Amino acid sequence: MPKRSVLGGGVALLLWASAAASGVEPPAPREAPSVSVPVAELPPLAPAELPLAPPAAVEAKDKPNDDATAIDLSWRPSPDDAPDSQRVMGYVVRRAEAPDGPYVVVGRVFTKGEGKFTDSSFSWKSKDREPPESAPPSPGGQGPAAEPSAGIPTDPAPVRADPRGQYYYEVAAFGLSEGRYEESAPSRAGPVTPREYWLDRDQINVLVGTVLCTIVVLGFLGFARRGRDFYVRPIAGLKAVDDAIGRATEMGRPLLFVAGLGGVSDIATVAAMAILGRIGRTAAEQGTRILVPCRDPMVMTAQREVVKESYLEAGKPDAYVEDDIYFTTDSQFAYVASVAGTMARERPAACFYMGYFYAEALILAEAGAMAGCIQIAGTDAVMQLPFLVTTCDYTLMGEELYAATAYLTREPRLLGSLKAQDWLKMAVAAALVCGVVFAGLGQILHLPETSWMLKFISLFETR
Amino acid sequence: MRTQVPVAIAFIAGVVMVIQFFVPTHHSMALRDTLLAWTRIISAFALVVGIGSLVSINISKLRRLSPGWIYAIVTLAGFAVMAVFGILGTKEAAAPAWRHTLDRCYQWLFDNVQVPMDATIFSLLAFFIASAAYRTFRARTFEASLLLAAALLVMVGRVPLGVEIGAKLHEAIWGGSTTAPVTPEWLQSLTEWVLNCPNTAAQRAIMFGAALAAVAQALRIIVGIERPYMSGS
Amino acid sequence: MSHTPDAASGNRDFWVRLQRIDRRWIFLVLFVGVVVPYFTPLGCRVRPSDPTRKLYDFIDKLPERKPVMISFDYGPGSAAELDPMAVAIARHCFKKNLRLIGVTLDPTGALLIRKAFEKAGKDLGKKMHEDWVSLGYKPGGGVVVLGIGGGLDTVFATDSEGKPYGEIPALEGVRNYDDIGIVVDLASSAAPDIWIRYAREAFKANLACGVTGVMVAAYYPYLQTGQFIGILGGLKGAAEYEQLTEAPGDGQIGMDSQSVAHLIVIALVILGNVASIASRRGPRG
Repeated sequence: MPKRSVLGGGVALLLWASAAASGVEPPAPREAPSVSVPVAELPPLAPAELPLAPPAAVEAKDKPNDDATAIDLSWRPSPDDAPDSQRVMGYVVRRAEAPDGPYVVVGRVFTKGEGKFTDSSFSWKSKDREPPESAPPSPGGQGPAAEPSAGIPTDPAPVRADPRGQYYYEVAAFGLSEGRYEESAPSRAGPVTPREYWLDRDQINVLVGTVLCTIVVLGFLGFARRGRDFYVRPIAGLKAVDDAIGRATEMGRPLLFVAGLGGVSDIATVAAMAILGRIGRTAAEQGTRILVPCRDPMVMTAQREVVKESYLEAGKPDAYVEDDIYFTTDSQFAYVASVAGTMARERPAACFYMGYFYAEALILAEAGAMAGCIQIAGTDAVMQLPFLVTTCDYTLMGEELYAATAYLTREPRLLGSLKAQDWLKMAVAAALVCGVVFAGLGQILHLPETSWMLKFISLFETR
Repeated sequence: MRTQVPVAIAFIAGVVMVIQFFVPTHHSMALRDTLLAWTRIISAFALVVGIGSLVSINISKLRRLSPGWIYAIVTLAGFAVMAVFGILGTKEAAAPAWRHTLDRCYQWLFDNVQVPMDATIFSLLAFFIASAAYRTFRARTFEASLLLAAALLVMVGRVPLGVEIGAKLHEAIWGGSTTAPVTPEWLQSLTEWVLNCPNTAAQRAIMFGAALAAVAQALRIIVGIERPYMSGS
Repeated sequence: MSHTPDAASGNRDFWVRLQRIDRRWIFLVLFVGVVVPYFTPLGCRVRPSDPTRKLYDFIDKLPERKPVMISFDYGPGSAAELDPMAVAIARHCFKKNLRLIGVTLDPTGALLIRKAFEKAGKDLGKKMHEDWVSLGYKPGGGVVVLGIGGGLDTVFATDSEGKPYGEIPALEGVRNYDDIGIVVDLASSAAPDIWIRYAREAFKANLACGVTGVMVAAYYPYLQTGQFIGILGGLKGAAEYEQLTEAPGDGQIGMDSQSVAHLIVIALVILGNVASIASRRGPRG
């Protein structure tokens, strides 16, 4: 299961940033011009024996920023829908292609008071719009149910409508009177046509953030390509890797590499593969066996490629044993049991835990400690860091692991992107500080919503 | 050609998915659904590769009678039994009775073998945490002491007995007075505060780092500088 | 207070030895501490915390027959901690006459769905397919979560029993997140991150989570931003939810053991620190 999809991570960045900076709930939908066409006059508060009064001010409008597959409806409650009265149980929403119907039920809302409903029974696929073969005749028809029946009727799933059409809606209050279903006259709205959008305007801030991040990263990659040198501080854990391999060679015992429980698109797993490549090459040069039990078949395939390449680079392609990089199980604790068993039987001299870990991290590291291995870990799993720090000889923490690829390969473009991350981090920190200061000042000085400080914060809001 | 095609696929798929996120038209949605369906199919096939590796390695271990071959028998037997019961067993009413029996066997093995075994390994964690905390959790520096104090507070405040002790203390000091500066649940509230404020702040800082790293890595993969999906990256 | 050098060094040896005590003694103490309260309950009162109460209140206000989705993203290993949550939430939903949809991103989670729903709905006469449905496992993680936004029926053409989507009353009118009251992700992995990214942010689904005790601190930031409506943390979260629904279950039974276990670990940490300080003191030279 991928923990953190790389692309998703990019897109999620500003969502995080805005959430952290503002902590503001998404605003209510914007008011739109009313397209309400109430067809029933509201009677004065009716006694129980009179028919239910219909809801008022029914509005139907296109749901913005979608692929024309939803209509938002809203209405004011029926006068009979009082908080202390049980007469109205909810509202039923119907849709038709012509003002005179026939109207079919698209939804039933079991809430009292101000009503909202989104009709998303539209589809671009003609296959989805065909009525099911065994569909019963559409109930409801026009207005209130013709035959009063016991209980609330079960509505069949609405047949999806063509987003290119024009639609009318009606909303009626319903309830049970002495166990019999009753319904008010409907209030109508329409016509309304779903609209398709070319740009999700709610995501414009995310788009701007994505573009800015891309420019900064690509800019630094460009600098790097032109030969600019970037400094990366020494990482003790990575320096210790060679010593650990040397020890294994001296003792004539294998190495064990665990790439965590992350998927192949996980950043930590990608970083782990770079480290595995380096370990694999040194191990190949020194003739030391390396065992790689895997939890994810895709990661296993990628790791086989990485290790094979390392043996090629070391000039010992024949020494590569494919079966030493193997899949065990994707069940978390069965995997732990299997790795701990391997440690007890094969007695590796050094164990490397690189990647994303869950609760199994401590179990693995304790098993390694009991087997007397040198242990080097690297993870961005914050919750597991304390366990690994206490039980391993060296631990790469969070971004040290991400920096590993650049550090080990000294590839200028990777170093460049590392530098870009530092600058972006500064920008996020600056935005956070501004957001906190402005929000604080806004509270203290009672600034209006229109002040530029509060507008700045709203730039980061998620919608 | 061997390297260019995968890099081109990664580039096109990456760019398309980024653009798709911002374009909500129905063509864009259809494209997304198709790509997602492909990803699901590929994930399922990857499992086949994994199972192939599992079976072949254990069979060769058995053939060579290499150390620990007995475990290979257990693994292969477990795999075969669960696979056969899982695939042939069904709850469908129309299916023959023997298939219902197989399904019940599968459920029984899951409930009575897999669940307790998995739970056993997970429960080891509690013992290892206790022993690791005893051996290594030391207030050597100011920061470590602060961490230790926060940890002890959260551990007490997260369990009813701890909250009960806090309430007893409250009663001993303020004797149920309504003018007491804190509520009897002060320990729980303090724990919530530690989790909500200092903890959240620290977690967020780490999230920002990880998110930015993800952005940079996504770009490196899209433009083909980093190629974890093929050798020679 | 003065010590002869011999006595002092003997004392120090004791503290040094105490620090290097065989870990199996610690295991034994913890084992006894967990087992004894399980059989002789202490009866501590559980006080629901805010994150639990928020989830409870949200579900409590959902209209009748509104579908609630529970994602069982955990395996049997974490079932002891997360199953009580699933049962407590499911029982609450059934009492409110809500429909339940179970899915999982973890292949070993599929069998847990049915068990939890059956246990919760047994006394209330709730039936599979009518009131709840288990859609089972689909590989792909984030891809599945995204796919549900496009159409639940496109990801799960049938339920885990092979019954076609369109024939299941519990799924009637459920197309995507728009029709689901809330998604509760119960997880022992980083699945909540996936749900936030692809269900909450991409489709604005209402989301809450229940995670194991070790993970809970990592998800508090999302509570503050409103991305999670509520969070249940570990067995305690389950016990709190049971308290709110006034239906004691496995969560509350386990609370006494957990209380004692926490106090033992605290005592061990303090003892370890005392031993460490004492062993560093002593005669110079």
